[in-house]
Amino acid sequence: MRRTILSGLLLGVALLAAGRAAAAPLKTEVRKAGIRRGAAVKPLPREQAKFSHAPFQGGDCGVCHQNNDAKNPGPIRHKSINEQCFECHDDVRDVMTRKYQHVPAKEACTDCHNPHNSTEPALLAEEMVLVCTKCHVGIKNQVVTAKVRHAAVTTGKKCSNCHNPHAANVEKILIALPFDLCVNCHSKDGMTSDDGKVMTNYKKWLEENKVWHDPVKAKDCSACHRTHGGDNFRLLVAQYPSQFYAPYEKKNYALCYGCHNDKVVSVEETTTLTAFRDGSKNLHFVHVNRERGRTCRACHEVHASKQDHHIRDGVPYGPKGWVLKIGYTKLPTGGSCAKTCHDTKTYNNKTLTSAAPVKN
Amino acid sequence: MKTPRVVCCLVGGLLTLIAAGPLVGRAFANVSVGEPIENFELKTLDGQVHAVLGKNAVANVVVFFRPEQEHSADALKEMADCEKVFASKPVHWVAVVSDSWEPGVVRTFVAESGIKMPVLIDQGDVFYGKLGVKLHPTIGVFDAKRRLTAYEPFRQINYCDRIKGRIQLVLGEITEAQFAAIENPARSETRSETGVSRRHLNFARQLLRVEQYDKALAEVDKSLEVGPSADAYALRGQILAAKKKCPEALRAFDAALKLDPANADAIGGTKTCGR
Repeated sequence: MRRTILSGLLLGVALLAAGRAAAAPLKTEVRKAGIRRGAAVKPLPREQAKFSHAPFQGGDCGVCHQNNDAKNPGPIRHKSINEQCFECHDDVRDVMTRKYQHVPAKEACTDCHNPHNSTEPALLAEEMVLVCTKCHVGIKNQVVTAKVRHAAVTTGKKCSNCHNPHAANVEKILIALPFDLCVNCHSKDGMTSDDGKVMTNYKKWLEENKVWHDPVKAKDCSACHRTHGGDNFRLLVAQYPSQFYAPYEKKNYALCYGCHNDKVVSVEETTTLTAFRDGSKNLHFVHVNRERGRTCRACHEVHASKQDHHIRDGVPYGPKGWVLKIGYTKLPTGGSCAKTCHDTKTYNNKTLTSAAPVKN
Repeated sequence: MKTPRVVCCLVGGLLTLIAAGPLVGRAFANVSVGEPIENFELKTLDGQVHAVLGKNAVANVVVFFRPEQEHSADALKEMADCEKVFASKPVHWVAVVSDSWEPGVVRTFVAESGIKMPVLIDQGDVFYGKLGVKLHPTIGVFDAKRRLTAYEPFRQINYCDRIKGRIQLVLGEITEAQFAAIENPARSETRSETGVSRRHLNFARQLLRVEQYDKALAEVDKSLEVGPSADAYALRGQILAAKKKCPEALRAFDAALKLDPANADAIGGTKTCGR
């Protein structure tokens, strides 16, 4: 009986995980009960603390308390905890005038900080990820269960690599727009991902390739990447084939169809859905919608390219990543692809009839 | 001789400008920013007929969406809030959806979003085709002359801020410079050199209050190390005066008055020290 219950539970967890693989939500559960409002703010034993607040360290209790007496400090001098803190930290009062404010920072500094001493920098009550995920349980789930992890969450300044835990000018209390944060790190040669693959130096790539994908132009990396961790490779928010060939299934392209119309690939004949057509023959359908379908990456460079429509110059092909040239040329009546994947072919999207075949 | 050099400089400058950023693409596939569009009348979800662009509207916002899509759901929810902000302004809102979706599906999707704007059904995707709408969700903002002033595909962060800014720009409520600040918000750091300096100064004030003069002096000096200020010198003078060191205090007050002749603490401190 116990085994049946356990199997059921495991199956449930597996189903939940499978559901998550399709799309990890950006908006996650925030459990306000996690706030340590009214939690003890008493000092740690001195031998445990690594960091001390200067007035406490100096024994100057009267800086914050009504009595300058360590044995009987009494209540704090101000009615509001934050007003007490701002008496010295008045620069944080200015920070709190920004548009997007973190509720605990607005209500009580002691929700996150121990005003006496701590084992953590910035006198955080606990290790930063622990403090943040006490309320942000949805993020905690993403971080803990992610198959693909993002080092930015757990290294360096951790959560505050990207977020200002007090207040910010950008939604999600981000320090800057996502692109400015991401490229700040992803601008080095030789960085490796969670699976050990070398990642692109995006600063360099974007400087060399001037046709930027809309989300890149919009500085909105989080439109496609789930920055806290996820189940899809490259932290993608939804499924996207990682290989050159893949059998066509709509759900495998969920990432692209988050914005693009899936009919571009599912409709065989069109004169409106795409300019990549020969007469009314939809060439996206021809390339992608088949058992050995060419995936988007075969022709498109998703971040930035030199040519319009994000058409790439070449694509890594095969196990050693040899670069297969695309050889695309835009023509007044459509375009042409030089002999690489197939013989040189030209398409005409200005009339309803097909282009004359090019002999090669 | 001079003319070719000027031309070279202009061309060079232009190339540098082009090289600095991404190439600006077209907006909708068939309509660029600045171009006017023909006004369409489409059937609403409730069977009425409604114009895409309003007769007396100063700004027109057209929201293209697709049901059963996370980004469209997010965008509509954000626009529900945005609509309220402009409720009393000459802003005309419509949402447009392809007729390939079941009305029931659209109705449920719209109800969950909370938008109040009319939802127009694009029969045969004629309006979509005319503009060349390729992405969902996408918002087009048009002015009173039916010109496209902004094309805004979905973004996960600051979408509502951006759309509000675009509308305010058309309404003349903000300038291009103010919109640029919305487009590229200033970095939001907490710690700054001046902030740290102020903290030391404030702490010194508190230490002076509890008569910890030496500690107070040390904190003022830390503040002065980051950057000299009249307030810091004046406080230094007050602490020294409290320590009955008037000659040194007067030197500090003088330093404060040199930076700010109207500094009240320094003026008062000078008198306390009998000058």
